[in-house]
Amino acid sequence: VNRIRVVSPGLLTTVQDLGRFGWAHFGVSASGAADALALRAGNLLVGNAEGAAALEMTLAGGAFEFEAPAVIALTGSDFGAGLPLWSAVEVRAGETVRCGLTRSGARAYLAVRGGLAAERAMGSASVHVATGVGGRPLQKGDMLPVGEEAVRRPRAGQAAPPAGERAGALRVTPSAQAEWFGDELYCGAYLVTEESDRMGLRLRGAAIPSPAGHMPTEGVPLGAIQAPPDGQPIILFVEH
Amino acid sequence: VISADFWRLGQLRPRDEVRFERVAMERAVELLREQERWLCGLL
Repeated sequence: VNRIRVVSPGLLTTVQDLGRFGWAHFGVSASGAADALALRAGNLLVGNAEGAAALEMTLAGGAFEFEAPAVIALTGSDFGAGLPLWSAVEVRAGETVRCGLTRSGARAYLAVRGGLAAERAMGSASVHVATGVGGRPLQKGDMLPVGEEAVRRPRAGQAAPPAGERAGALRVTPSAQAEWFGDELYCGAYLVTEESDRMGLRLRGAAIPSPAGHMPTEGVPLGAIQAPPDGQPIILFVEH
Repeated sequence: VISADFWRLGQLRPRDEVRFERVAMERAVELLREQERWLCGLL
């Protein structure tokens, strides 16, 4: 069995798959990759099923030493690993893949052919950082066994990254409760604050006035925009 | 936020600036289909 040794974990690196669905009625959040598209792409590039467990790095990546030869793909943002992104790459036995500070967006993914053979809780290997369900962020010295769950050959050549820019307007569709609010959300720019995490993206900008009357309580899905009493919107994210 | 833009949420960093733009549900579905086609192209 091939294993990956965590030489350095980076700022916040976790094992993620597509999440823990079907437990919300017990108050268990789905969690899962924050950029699921990059995780799925990485898995497809190395020949895994799209939902195999992989590493999610945040803002500053880690260093990972491979005991045996492996095929990996780095997707998402450029963390300066010096390897081609969006591409299946061969790694030699004893080689260390070193990621650094992000040069673009918040997250990078390292998918490995065969998937990470991480322990599953309620059907998913995803770590829920806030509660510890599914495990904890990586620490120096952790050993990650590589699975043998590849389903096809790795893809040859480099793929184009997904269409669209990280910056630019986020597209939204109005929810059933949108009529309680005005157009403030669409008028100006909002800043992503430091208080943002996998639970919610907390924004700062023009306040959204609270509506008069009592809004019925409603379930809130991933990507819902909430307007709390202070009017500063929160986008509910993967650990909500 | 439409599903086709979820990946961009995962790539937002503190101090990034975001704006919001309304789109029709039909457009949101079309954008998601395009994204899934891109993903299928990786096979």
